Amino acid sequence: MRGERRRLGSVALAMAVLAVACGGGSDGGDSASPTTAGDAAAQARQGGIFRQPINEPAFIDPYNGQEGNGNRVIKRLFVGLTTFDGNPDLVMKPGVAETWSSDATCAQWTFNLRRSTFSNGEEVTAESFIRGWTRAADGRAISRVAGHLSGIQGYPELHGAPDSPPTATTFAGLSAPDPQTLSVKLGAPDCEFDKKTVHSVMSPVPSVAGAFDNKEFNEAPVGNGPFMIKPGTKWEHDRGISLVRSDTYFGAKPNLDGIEFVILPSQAPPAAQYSAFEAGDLDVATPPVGLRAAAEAKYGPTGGFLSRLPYATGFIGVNVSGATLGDPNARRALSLALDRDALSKAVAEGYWQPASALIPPPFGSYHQAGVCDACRFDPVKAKELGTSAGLSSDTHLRFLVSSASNPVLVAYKDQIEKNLGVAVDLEALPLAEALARQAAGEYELIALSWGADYPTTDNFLFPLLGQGSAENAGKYANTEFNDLVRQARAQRDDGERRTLLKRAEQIAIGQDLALVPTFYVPNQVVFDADKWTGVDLDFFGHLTFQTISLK
Amino acid sequence: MAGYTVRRLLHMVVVLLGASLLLFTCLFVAPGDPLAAIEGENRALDPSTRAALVDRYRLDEPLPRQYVHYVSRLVRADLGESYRQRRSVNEVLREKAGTTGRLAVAALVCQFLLGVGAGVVAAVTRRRFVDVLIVVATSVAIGLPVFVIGLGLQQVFAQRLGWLPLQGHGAGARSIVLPAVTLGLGYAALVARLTRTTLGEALRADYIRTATAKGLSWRAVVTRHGLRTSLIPVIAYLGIAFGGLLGGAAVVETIFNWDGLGRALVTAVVAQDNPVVMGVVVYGVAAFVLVNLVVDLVSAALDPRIRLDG
Repeated sequence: MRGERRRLGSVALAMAVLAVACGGGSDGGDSASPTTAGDAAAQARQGGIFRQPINEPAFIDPYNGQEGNGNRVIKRLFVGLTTFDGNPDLVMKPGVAETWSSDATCAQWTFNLRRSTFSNGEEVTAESFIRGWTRAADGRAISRVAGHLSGIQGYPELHGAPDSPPTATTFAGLSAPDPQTLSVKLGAPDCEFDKKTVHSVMSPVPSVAGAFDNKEFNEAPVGNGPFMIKPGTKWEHDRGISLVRSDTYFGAKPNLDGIEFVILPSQAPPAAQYSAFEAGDLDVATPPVGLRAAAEAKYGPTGGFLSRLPYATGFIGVNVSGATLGDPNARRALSLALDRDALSKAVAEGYWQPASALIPPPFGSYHQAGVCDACRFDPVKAKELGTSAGLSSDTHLRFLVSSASNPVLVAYKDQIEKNLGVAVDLEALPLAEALARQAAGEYELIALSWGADYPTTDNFLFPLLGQGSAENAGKYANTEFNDLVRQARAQRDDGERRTLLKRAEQIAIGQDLALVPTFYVPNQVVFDADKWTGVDLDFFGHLTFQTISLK
Repeated sequence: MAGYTVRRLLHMVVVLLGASLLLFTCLFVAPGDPLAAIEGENRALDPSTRAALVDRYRLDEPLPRQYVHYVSRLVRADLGESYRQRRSVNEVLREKAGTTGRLAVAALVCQFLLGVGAGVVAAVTRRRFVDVLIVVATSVAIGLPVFVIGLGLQQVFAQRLGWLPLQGHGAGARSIVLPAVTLGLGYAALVARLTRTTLGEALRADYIRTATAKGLSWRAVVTRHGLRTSLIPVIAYLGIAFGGLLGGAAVVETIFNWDGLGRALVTAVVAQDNPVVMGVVVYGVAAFVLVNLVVDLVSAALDPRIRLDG
């Protein structure tokens, strides 16, 4: 499983993974200091504990950091080989690795590490990475994020498969020629492997981490990041996790004294977090749907309202191999029948941005606004194309959804029925069952969204539309598209690769409309701008704790 | 009494087995994916991870064998492992039981003081204005859902007046006031009604007339003679109400951000983390049976007419 799949309709706040906001320095693999705050922040006031609400994480140990809550903590505690600051060209910045390079085939990578230490004083070496990655890939760990390491040689032997138990205890593709050099051999070319190393599962761990089932480390991991678990404390389940600034961090020290992750019940009323914020119990909150415009009016004028698009796109998955929607014109008709603007105004106070490409705007130079020419509202054209593609009043579209009463999903149904004259049957199913139905081809439509794990467009295109991907359940198969994605993986030149990937999206979305992009859903938070400065969200919805300081 | 206690404890084993079988059947036989808890943010599990988890939790075995396995661990007081967090359910219970215990005790105290207090006032002012007021107020309190009471109290005492904390544990003893009142209010109203009725009847009994005729003060008549016998059904009722507290705690702990068993139960039910649901409920059933045993013993001590070995 690569990307993060979720149902449209769940507010897309908790994006998984990625990026302590690092920046500064030079492009590419040149040596640079991963400072973040810049001169202004360097003079900013030190101190303060920033209280952020999260829900109970599943894990805060990087070997199994599988959802947004846990990753919010993990990414403060650990920094991997590279970092990403959200630049539009998706160029990685140094992390523990000061420089890195690959061979001509992009199958052999070498990372040169800076001298740095974990918060317990132990040195971060190549061995620390090998330990962390091996610990996660170990089949006995049953890590649900281990798959991100599957491109490395030796993974099948270490991890095992459903019918073949693990046969190795070491990671054959990883080696440390010297303590400051990590050598990685991949099973197949991947010129964007460096971008994948921002994933939390690729964190280094110190020797005290022990095996994956070391409870002490699971509950109070020791990392190399800008913050560390407050000494003498550990994860207090359903209550909170306290972090303090780590003096051993190699980069620019944060101004905050610490972070208090306040764990709220996941089933609390949507307004509870906002009420707690307004009562002064939290320093940041996501306003509930319906109160966002009011929150913007109240906190926006002082700069205390943030709205940032994440690396995610909502879409309607289509059974392109089925009889009903096998014709691209039928899918185009479907897309043209959706009035995205009206829907955003009706259910999201107008904050959701209508999508016109699969690769969302934060991908900067990789985003192609309008590549989906059918992502506009044109009911006349929709009806005309639908009729020519065989859609009629006898047509029944089975639409797999998370809830048959969700207003967004009901609105999709109403618009498609009204504008195309077909019948849409909403079938509410738990995700596992919906995906099983999808895999069996017993559906026409499914409402989903996809968020990236790392800053690569391959992380959208291949999982959702590539041949051989388990997530390509619509069974889209286009030889030219698959060739372009494969060529891009072996293309060392950034510009050339971008051209190939853009062309791939033009074919899958512009030409074939293999899935119907619907919305870009922003992450939105409020905070007290009279008290805090430097508050921002990275593309993955995490607060930029390294730039936050008291005003 | 020892024989009675042992018999009741043996009954408890039967009740626990019955409850666990019922719940196990509901949770594991019902359609749905037993590993749904691990789907996390709507991600599907990759096949090799799924296969490893099915193997770890023996989900490929026939259900009767899975249940036998569950019971064999239950006998050893091992409640299994959370699917979502891979933590021992025993550990979850150990962590959370204290919080819910504190809340339950505070709610019981609130029920007792508010309920008996209002009941006594109503009984002695029968059919007068204060009595009518109490009857109306208790009707409202009984009728209101717990979450409405909780959100209403938060709105008034935390957000408007600022007297008490809105949520969380941070403010020490003040933190428990609103959750305890929220949890206890509905039951307090029922206790008030019960006290009003039983005390009202007692006050019309001959022995009360005798006590009054002896020249005892009205206060002594009510508290020493009337209330003592009227409290027996009230205490028995509080024992039964304890069972409802766990259900109420699920709502109250969620609204007030308390990390107790009730919240753990809600989270587990929604996430379909079946081992945690099983663990919390089995624990709740055991606690309920034990509390009621204690209630019966206390009732016997209060009223010599109650014979436990009959």
